[in-house]
Amino acid sequence: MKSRLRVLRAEREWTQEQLAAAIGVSRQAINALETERHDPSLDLAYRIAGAFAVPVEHVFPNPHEQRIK
Amino acid sequence: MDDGWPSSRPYVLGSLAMWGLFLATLFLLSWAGGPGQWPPAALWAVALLHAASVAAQFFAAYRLIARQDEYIRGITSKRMIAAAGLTITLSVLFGVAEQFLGAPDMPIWLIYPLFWGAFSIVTPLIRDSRP
Repeated sequence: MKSRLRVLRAEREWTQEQLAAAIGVSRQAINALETERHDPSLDLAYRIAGAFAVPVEHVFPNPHEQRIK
Repeated sequence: MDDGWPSSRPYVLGSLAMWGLFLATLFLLSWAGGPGQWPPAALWAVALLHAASVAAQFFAAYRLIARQDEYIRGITSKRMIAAAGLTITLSVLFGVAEQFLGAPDMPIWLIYPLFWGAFSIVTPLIRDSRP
């Protein structure tokens, strides 16, 4: 799943370790999300969005949006 | 990139103890298992202890995996399934080769180290938690 995770993290100058610690996952999980090797659960997506204080779809654009409209 | 087996000092120490028990009981059985050396009840007790070390190791691995985040749980589960598939496939192949093709008999306990060997082979190949 595509995400803006790396961009948002870079804007705040956070390391993967810092973000991982903030949301309670491993650094490997952050790396896997940034390299599209893991699709987050809804719970994890909300935790990440919460850490950046943005809506979930600001981090993870809805890949099914075109089909829903 | 480091997304191999989750690191945990208690798990590593416990694993070393269980592998030590696995090998010690194996050597004990090979030493004491000759005809008329140890009573059958004692040999069965050592054999059960041998098998219990395997059960304890898998239980510890299960508990360690259950404590990880969703990504580590996902890839580790995929690796375990792939390793189990590889191990069972090789065991079935060797089983029919033994029975019908004259291959030499192999002790079934070798499946246990074979499984972890297979796990180490598939680990670098599975780095994606998605289907």
